[in-house]
Amino acid sequence: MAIEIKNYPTNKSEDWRYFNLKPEKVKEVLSFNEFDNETVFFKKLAEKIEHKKYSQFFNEIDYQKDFFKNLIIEKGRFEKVVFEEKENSINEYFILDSGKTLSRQVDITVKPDCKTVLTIFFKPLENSFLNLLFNFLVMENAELRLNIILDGEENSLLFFRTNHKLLENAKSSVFLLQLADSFTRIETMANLENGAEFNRYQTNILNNSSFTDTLFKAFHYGEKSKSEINNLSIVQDKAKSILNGLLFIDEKAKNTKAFQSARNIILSEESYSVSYPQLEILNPDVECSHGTSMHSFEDSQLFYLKSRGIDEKEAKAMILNGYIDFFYKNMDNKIKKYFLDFCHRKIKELM
Amino acid sequence: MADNKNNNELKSISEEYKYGFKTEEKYKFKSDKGLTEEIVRAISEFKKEPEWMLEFRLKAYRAFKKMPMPWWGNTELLATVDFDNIHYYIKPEKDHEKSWDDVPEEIKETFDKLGIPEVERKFLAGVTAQYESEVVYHSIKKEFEKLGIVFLDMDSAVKEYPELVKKYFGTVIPIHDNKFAALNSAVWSGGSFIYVPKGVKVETPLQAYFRINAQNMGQFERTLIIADEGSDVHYIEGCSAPVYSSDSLHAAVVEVIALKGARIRYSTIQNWSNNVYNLVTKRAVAYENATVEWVDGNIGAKFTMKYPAIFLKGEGAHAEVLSVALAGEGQHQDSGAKAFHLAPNTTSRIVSKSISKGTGRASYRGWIKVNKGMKNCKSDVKCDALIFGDKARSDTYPRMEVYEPTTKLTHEATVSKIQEDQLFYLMSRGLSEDEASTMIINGFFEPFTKELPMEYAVEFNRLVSLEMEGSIG
Repeated sequence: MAIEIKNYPTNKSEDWRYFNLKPEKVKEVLSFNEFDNETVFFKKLAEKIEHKKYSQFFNEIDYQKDFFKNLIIEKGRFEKVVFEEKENSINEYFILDSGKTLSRQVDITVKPDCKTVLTIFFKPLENSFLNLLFNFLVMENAELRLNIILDGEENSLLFFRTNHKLLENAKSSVFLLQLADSFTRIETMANLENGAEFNRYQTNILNNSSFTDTLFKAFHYGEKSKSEINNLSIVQDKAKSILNGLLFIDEKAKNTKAFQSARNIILSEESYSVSYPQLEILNPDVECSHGTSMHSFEDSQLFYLKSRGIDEKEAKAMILNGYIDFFYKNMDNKIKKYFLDFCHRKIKELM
Repeated sequence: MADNKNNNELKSISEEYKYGFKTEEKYKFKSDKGLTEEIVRAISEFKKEPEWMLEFRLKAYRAFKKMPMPWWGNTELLATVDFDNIHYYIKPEKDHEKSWDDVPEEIKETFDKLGIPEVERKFLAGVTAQYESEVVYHSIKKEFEKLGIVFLDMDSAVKEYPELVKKYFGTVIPIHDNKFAALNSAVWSGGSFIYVPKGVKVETPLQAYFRINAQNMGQFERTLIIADEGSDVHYIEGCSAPVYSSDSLHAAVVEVIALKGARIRYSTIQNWSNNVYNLVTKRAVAYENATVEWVDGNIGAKFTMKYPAIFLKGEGAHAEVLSVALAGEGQHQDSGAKAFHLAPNTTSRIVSKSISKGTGRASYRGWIKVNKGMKNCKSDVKCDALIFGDKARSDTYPRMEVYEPTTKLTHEATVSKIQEDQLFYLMSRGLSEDEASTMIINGFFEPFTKELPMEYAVEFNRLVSLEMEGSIG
């Protein structure tokens, strides 16, 4: 292969500590054929007007020059999209065939005062490699809602990176549901200007040998900016969930509020969970906190349900569904229902 | 106001304490700057150590040469450590002293300046004082001897209790643990050795004072505490150092072993001068039903890297860490705690409190790990931070790894400045802003101070109020 493996994930860098692909795996995924059929989803995006004048913003947030980015540069494709209407909405379902690979970068701009809702379902099938980079520029007073479901099959590799640049009073909300059996790395970066708001809700419901490594970083550069980052992981069988998060509050970012939480529910002896929620705060005018918990089922909760005639499996499913329903409380009702259907089905599979 | 007068008096005492003192430097032996195999051999020879200790030192020296600096933490400050510009061993002129009357006047003055109350001095007969890299006087209280407690400086322990030392030395923190532990293992000098026999409960806390008193001198004390089955001991170390113009490196290693049912509490108040690099490795092993408590206060030093750790190796063991840090102008306090649950039914609790002000930076770095198959472990971590001043910084880096489903782990952290409503409440009752803030800060640190013996708590509060002077509002 012509591609040079630069900045390949190693354990020297904290960000890559858990995501350490074996060289054999890299060779394997690089040998897959390129996915060359134009999909409806990417075509739809490509039809939007291309805009170069925002490139400075994208350069600011798209700074990672690692193996996955190089793969896009050398073999993948770029799309540039601008959403200009007051209300924009895209719902898509994307399947990557077995034995295929796809590398794609999409730079999306949401113009001032516009609202865009993107709901995308990604399903890489067995033995495939999906490498995606979404850069979002959300301009003044604009809003982006991103609803993502990842459902990769076993033996697939999924790399999903999103970078957000939020200008004054912009708002971005990301709802992510990770059900994949694959080896998955999810990265989210957000860069917040004055009054910007970033919310992120990620649920991992994992079983079999699924491995999910999540990294997020929210950089607060503007005053009165807000971020709320919540994670819920349920791991069963031999699944592994890793969470590495950082809230960074710059000295200019006065009156900032930032919060992150992580709940990890470990259901089997072979599964495990790692959390690394970090704070770096450079000014005193902040309200910042984080909380993490790792546990299985509370005996008292199970007892309560069982004493009402509910069998154990059902009781456990009820408790987990309860966590998830509450977790997605800030979602649009229609999409929430769609998300929850997936969750409930997956929970049933876990029990 | 009477309180104000008291405050001023306390402040004036603290000021002297803060700015340190220095006595004439007289040496029997002073190694050249930099570290070579010859220096390591010379140290061992000078101390007339057994062969195994020389081997240990040489092995550590070779490991030190090969090992990289930590790639995490404040790498900029770490990069400024110049290993070639340090005297690795200095032997003071005075030999070991046996009783308080024999203690040289200048050392008595030192204790005077530390503000030790008159009553306390009576107990100083049981104190190990570290002067330069060496213990200059050392006496053991008769009661301790009667109970079979061994409380010695480490050098004497190697000679007097070779079997005991050999059995445990370097077992908790191996040579290859990290670069600074390797360095310490190669050039260690001084420190305390404590052995508490089975079932013995030590009523009086054992104390040691440490001092760096020579320019460009690294201090590498080595402490080993062994509490035999069912015993109970409290060890206190306090540090102070005069201010010098060039940087001083302090890389201690502390190994603590609590055997079945034992309890060890290790309290530290660290107040090195603001040019010291305090890069310490502290670790404990707790066996069945044992308890280890680290009570750790970091106020001084330019740069601290200290994460007291506990390996919970026996069923029912308990770990407790109470860590506070105050990062003033130009300081970086990178402290935290680690608890590794390596046996079932083990519990840990970590409370960390930090204040950063001026250009200070306080970082909490923690690590909780529960191994596979270690049923019913519980861990609770709480970090609170207060920030003052536009240039101050506060970081939290907690890592939690759970490989066992029956674990219950919680972690929470908060960072903020003093809340306006709290200030308003106190000020509306007639307190000035400074008084109100000091009261809130003392309350913030209270979980720590209440665990200290009275005189240490008083000293700690003095230091905090002095450090915080003028930084509010």
